[in-house]
Amino acid sequence: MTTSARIVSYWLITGLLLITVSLVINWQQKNQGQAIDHHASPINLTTGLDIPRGRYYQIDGIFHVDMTGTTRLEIPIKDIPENPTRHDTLVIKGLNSHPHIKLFWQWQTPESLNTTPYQYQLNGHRQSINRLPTDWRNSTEITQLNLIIEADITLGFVNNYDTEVSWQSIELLNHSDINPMQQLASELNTFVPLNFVSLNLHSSNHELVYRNFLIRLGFWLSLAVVLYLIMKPPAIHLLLTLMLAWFAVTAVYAYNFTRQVSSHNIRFTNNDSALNKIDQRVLEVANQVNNAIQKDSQHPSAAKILIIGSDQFEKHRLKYYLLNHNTGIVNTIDDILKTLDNNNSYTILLEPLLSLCTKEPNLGGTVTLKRLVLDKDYCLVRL
Amino acid sequence: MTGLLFTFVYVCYLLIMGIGLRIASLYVIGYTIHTRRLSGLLAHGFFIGLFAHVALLNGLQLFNLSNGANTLIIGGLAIIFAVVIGYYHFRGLSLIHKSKNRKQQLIIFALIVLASLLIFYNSHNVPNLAWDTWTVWIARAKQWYYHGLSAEFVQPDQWLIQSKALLNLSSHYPDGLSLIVYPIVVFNDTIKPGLLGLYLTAYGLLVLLVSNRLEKLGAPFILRLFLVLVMYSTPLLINHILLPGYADIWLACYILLIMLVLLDYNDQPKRGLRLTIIAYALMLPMLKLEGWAWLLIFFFSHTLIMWFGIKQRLIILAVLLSAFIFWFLLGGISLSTPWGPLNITPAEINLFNKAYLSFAFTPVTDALINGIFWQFNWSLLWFGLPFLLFYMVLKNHNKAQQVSHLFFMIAFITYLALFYLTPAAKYALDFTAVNRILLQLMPCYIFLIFTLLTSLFNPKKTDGLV
Repeated sequence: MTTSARIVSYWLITGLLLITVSLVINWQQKNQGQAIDHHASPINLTTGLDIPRGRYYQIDGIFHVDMTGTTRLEIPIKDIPENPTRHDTLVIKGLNSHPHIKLFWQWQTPESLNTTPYQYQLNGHRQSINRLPTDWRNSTEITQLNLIIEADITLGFVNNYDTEVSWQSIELLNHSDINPMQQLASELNTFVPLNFVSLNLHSSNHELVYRNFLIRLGFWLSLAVVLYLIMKPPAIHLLLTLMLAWFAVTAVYAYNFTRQVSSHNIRFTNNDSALNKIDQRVLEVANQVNNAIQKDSQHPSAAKILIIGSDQFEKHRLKYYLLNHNTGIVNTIDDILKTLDNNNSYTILLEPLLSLCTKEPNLGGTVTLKRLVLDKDYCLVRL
Repeated sequence: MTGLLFTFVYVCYLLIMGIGLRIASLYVIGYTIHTRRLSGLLAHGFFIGLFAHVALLNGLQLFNLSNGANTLIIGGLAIIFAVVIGYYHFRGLSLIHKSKNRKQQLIIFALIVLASLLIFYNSHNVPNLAWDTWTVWIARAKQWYYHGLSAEFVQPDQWLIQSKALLNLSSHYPDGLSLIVYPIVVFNDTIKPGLLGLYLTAYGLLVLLVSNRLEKLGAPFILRLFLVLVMYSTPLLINHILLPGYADIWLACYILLIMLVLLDYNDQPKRGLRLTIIAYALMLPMLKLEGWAWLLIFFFSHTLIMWFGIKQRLIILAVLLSAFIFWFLLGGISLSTPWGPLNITPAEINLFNKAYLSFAFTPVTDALINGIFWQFNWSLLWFGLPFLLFYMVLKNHNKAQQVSHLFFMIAFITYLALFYLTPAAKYALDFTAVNRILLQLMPCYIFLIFTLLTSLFNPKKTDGLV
């Protein structure tokens, strides 16, 4: 075979492979979950939501949820349909939401009644197509079914209390009723925010938003490389194939990247880089504590400060701002009692331990403390 | 803007430290100072400068000096090195030679700058929110700033009963990353922009070095352009720059730098390059505990490949494998000593109760596959692994390439063994470590994939003696 014939054949077969891989994966996805009743008709839940009066209204066929003054709505499904788990896909059509809004599908089974309910985060795309996880499909009886809408008002979204979420319909249906390419498009449009807490994962295990896309491209690419090894066209054609696949993935990445940029611009424009605006109150507390210790201690920089409270972010930020002293976080009152011998030791009590400070500061038994500052959200005592 | 200005000053300081140290040390030892391409001079200058900075500050920690005295010493040394560079230059000696393909180099450089600007644009508004960064690494640098570079750090239990030692949860970790952050904390309270600039610079210089190496291997320009695209569109690598402050990407840089300099040494065995490899290898355990594991693996790979022929290597590997099987079947070694138990068994390793590790199989396949393929952390890169393995085994490679292949294979097997066989499995199942450790190997893996692609275009150049 001549080189040109090999090149033409390579590209033709590569193209055919792409179509074949897509079709095979589509077919395989459609036939997943044999236990699902493929003939069950969809369940429309749009008007079956038990939302507090005045928060749910309809204009021109669009249903609106008003989130004014709240950051979390737990919306029960009024009459749970019989055997809802015979449907494995939840579709929210025409969803109009915001980057800081998260939607969850939550359910409880008789087995999980006294434990944490199952919860699955829903895709925030306009055509939100969500293949519900195995836990849902394995649940034989559902005792409680909720749609959760949560607004993340932390980290720069503090003024966003007047959010509205809307949709055209919410339906439970079978995965085989969904066009796989439509689902793929829905997933590719899902916004993946930058993960702040830790850099260990780009998207969580439950989301795996681009999985269907990556499966198709990855298998196609592997087959194309094998084809290249068999047909041996010039190397540039393999490189072009790789670049084609990479460009497709990068296009998705770049689209999400630009959405991250606009999200960050909205969220953080007015914040400086040191988190000061985000944890402004914590910084004020740290300054007040600093002043009090400067006045009270003979060796302020050597003063040992123990912080105790429940809010992880608040505790750690306070520690961060007080590192000019010998500062640390403790978990129990017993930990504080271990430092009683140190006469240059202070404790900051945060919620929910503030009540220990309201009258005579007392950590139990005969241990009384000198209160230096008592404010609405913290108390500084000397041991 | 102040942060960026500080980054510029800090990078200049690191370049002076790195280039100055190279000239001074080679001159003192009596080695020839060879010229480099400008990009190579700056990139290696930067990374050697970081090594010099971390090693110097680690040394200064022993003397319990004030911050002012430490700054004077560091500044004094930087001035001496600047004078050394100036003296060398004004004697008419050159440190650089011209690149052959300056236009191509400029395009690559421009793309790196453009990608860096895009990352900067996305990240500049984002506060320093990465949890470990400010709770642990920057916190430690701030503690040095307030309490002196020689401050002692302890864990919570000891901290409660000691009056002077400071609390830091990373007290058992090496100081490297916090020492890199330390000057930023001293001179600039707004840490994030300075840190972002430093990470972007380091990553950009690394990409430039990889591109240079591929060019030496005969990679066409389009492949090097593709390299830049891959390096700047692999999601988790970029996430580590968007939210700067983690040590893993530094470790990743130094692992790859060792491989690159080893290849340079294989091309032209200049004696100075040996010192560069040693400096980069020493940097690994100075940054993170895992650095010890990578250093040992590198040492083993290098020794096995460089010192022994193929037959000897096979004999050594067969002996090691037999010893392992023998040890496994006999149930290992268990001794009671006056210093405590010494158990090295298939169930546990206990070194006199000082170091303990238990072994048990945990099925983490789903988590690993999700992390490697489906979470979009590494884009499509891991689909290339089977082809890379075939390329490593079936083709002839020079010894330096063999070292990097063996290193990568052992490192990857260690990575799998860690999560399948030890309690670290829990960190695979909840994704807290599985991707981060893989990140340390990623630039090395990307480089190997690109050498494979280069070999398709220029098969003769990458082949060599076994």
